[in-house]
Amino acid sequence: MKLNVAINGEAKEFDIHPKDMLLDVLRDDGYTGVKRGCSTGDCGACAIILDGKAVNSCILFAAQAEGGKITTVEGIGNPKVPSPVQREMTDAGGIQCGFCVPGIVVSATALIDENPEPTEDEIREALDGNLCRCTGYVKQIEAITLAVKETRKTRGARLGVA
Amino acid sequence: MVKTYHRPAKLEEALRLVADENDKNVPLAGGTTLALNVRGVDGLVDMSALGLSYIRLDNRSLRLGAMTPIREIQRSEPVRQAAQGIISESAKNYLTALIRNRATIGGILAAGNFWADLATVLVALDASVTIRGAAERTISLEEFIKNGPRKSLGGGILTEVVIPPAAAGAQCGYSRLAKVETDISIVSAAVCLVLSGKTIRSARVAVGNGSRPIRLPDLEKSMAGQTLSAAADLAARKVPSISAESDIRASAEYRKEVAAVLVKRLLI
Repeated sequence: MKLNVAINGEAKEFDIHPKDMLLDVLRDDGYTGVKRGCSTGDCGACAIILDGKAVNSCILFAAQAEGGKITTVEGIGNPKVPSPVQREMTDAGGIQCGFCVPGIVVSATALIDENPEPTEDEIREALDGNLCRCTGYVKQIEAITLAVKETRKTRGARLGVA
Repeated sequence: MVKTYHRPAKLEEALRLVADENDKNVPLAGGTTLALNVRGVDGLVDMSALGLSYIRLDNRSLRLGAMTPIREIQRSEPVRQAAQGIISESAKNYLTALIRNRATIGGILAAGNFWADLATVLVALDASVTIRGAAERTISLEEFIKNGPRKSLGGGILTEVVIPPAAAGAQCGYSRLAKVETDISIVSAAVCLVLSGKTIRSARVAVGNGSRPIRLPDLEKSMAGQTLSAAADLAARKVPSISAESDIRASAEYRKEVAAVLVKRLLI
């Protein structure tokens, strides 16, 4: 069967099998920022944004994404042009081995897109599906709090222009 | 093995596909449980185009479309306002945000994930489920759980969960014990009380034993006319007689004991 989706703003068509998981389709197409961790929806390393919601791609049938807009970590930013969340994650020391980071960036980005002024409780709730096995979550939550401040500046600027 | 994928635009079409005896077609909601085990499934019937994602306040009853994601239920203002917020709070405790964004109320019940605290709370609140087959029927969630999804659904599709308004002046509380926030609860408990002065006029009590909610009608009856502290003593005596199983999270004995503590603490 065919799958038509927009990935990071680019229209794509795939030949898929009904049993395929979206994670495999994305990784096979080169979106390797989407990590395979547990394959059971526990760790969040495979997180993507589908139609505005952060979800686990490892327990999502690819066919369920038909017509959807997908954002992977590659679409959020890159080393040359990092997003505020990505920049603060590195600056605040939220990066350890790096495996969980794409998923955390995805969850945090979906949160800030939807709720530009999250409280710390809201940050913790939005990140409760992203496991870090290196240390913990203190630096990451600090980084996201800083990223919220960062985006506030640009939002302020946009408001100023308007 | 999964061979086909259907996304019907009409419920009648979905029902026809699910009822087809030649193909083992199963309804697909969020997919977060089904994706983990598709053994014996030939075809997936995606329910996302049937207009079943909604939260409606209807004559003070909450109507939750079967395809409504758990995270939307958690965040919904009418849901937060209902029953002192325990529906919203227990929805928030369903696994993780990444799963809550996909998992749906109808999906988790039809998949038999009765360990969910949300199921405990909904049983305490006397929720019912609407099932569409050849005809439409409504049964209590308690009965749905007792008979199991397969028998209760009878080849039909769960379309709606209805939560009636709590009795006037009812006070509800919910509590859980889990190793970490995102884990399945070891035990959970939900209580709704109507007080008359300092004594209990009526009560509903449900305990999640780690596998499924258990209502305690005998305890509820005996609590009527009692003060809260007398009711707490009754709970301490009667709740440990619930059934419970041992698994990787806790022993049956531990569950029974802690369940009584949770109910007691909800009362005093």
